Amino acid sequence: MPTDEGLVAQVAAGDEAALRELMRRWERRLAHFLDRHTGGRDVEDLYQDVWLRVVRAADEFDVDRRFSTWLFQIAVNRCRDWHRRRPPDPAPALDAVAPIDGRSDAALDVASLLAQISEAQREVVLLRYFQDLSEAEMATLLEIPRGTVKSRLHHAMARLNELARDGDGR
Amino acid sequence: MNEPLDDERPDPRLAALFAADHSAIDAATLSRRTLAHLAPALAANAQRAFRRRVARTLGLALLPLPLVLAMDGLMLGWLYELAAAWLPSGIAAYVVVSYGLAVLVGLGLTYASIPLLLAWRVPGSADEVIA
Repeated sequence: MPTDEGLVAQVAAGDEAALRELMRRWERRLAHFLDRHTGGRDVEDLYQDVWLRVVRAADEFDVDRRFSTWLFQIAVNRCRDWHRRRPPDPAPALDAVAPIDGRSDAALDVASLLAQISEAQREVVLLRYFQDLSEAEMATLLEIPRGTVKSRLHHAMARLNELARDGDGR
Repeated sequence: MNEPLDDERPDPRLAALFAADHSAIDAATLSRRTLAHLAPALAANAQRAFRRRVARTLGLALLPLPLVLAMDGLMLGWLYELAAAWLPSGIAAYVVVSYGLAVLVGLGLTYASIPLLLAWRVPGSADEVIA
C-alpha cells in the first residue's frame, strides 16, 4: 500500500486514482477540522480549496515531511484567510442552541465550546485532540515556538474545562 | 496518541464530549464533488509532468549527439574515399550525400519519436499500486 507521500508524488503527475485514495484517507478528519474551525460555515468551499492547493502544490511537496502536517498547514492557512475575510459571527446564545441537521448533542456541545475560545486556541485544540498532532508538529505547522503551543493549549484547555464543568457547553 | 501534560488534559466530562464528537458533514460526498472540480488542475499536473519527462529524456538523448555526428562525418569521409576509388567522383558524391541525408533523416525521426513514445506510454495509475 503506497504511503501518503507516495500518493502525493502520483498526484503531482496528474493521477486521479492517487488523489481519490488520498482523499478517502483524509476526508473525514479534514472535514471535521474545517467544520469545527469555522463553526460549520463554508466548509465545502474550504474543503475544495484545500484539495485544490494540494493538487497545485503537489510537485513542491517535500517528501521528507509528513503529508498530514502539510495538509493541515494548508487547512489552517485557508481557515485563517476565511476568518480574516469574514468577520466572525458572535458565539451563539448557548441556551438557544438546539440539535439540528441530525447533529448529536455532543457535537453541538463541542462546537459551542470551541466557539467560545479564540481562533488561535481553537486551532491547537483541534490539532492536538482531534488530529493527534504532537506539540512539535503543531509548532512546525503553525510556525510558532513550542512554548507558544503549550501556552495556547494550556489556556484553551483551562477555559474549556471550566466551561464543561459549568455546563455552559449545553 | 501523544500524551498531553496534566494541565492540558481535558477533564472527564470534556473528554467524553471530545470522544463523542463527530461532524455531521458527509465527507465522502464532499470528496466526490471536489474531485470533479479538481479535474482541470489534475490535467495541468499531468501536462506539466509530461513536459518535464520529455525534456529530461530529450536532454539525455541529445548528450551523445555530437559524438554520433562526428562518427557519421568520419564514416561519410571513408565512404566517399571508398566510393571514389571505384566510381566516378560525381556518382561517389551522390551516394555519400544520399547516405548522409538518410542518416540525418533517421536521426531526426528518432528524436521526434521520443515525445510520441512517451505519450504512448500510459503512466502507471495508483490503482495498480494500491491493488
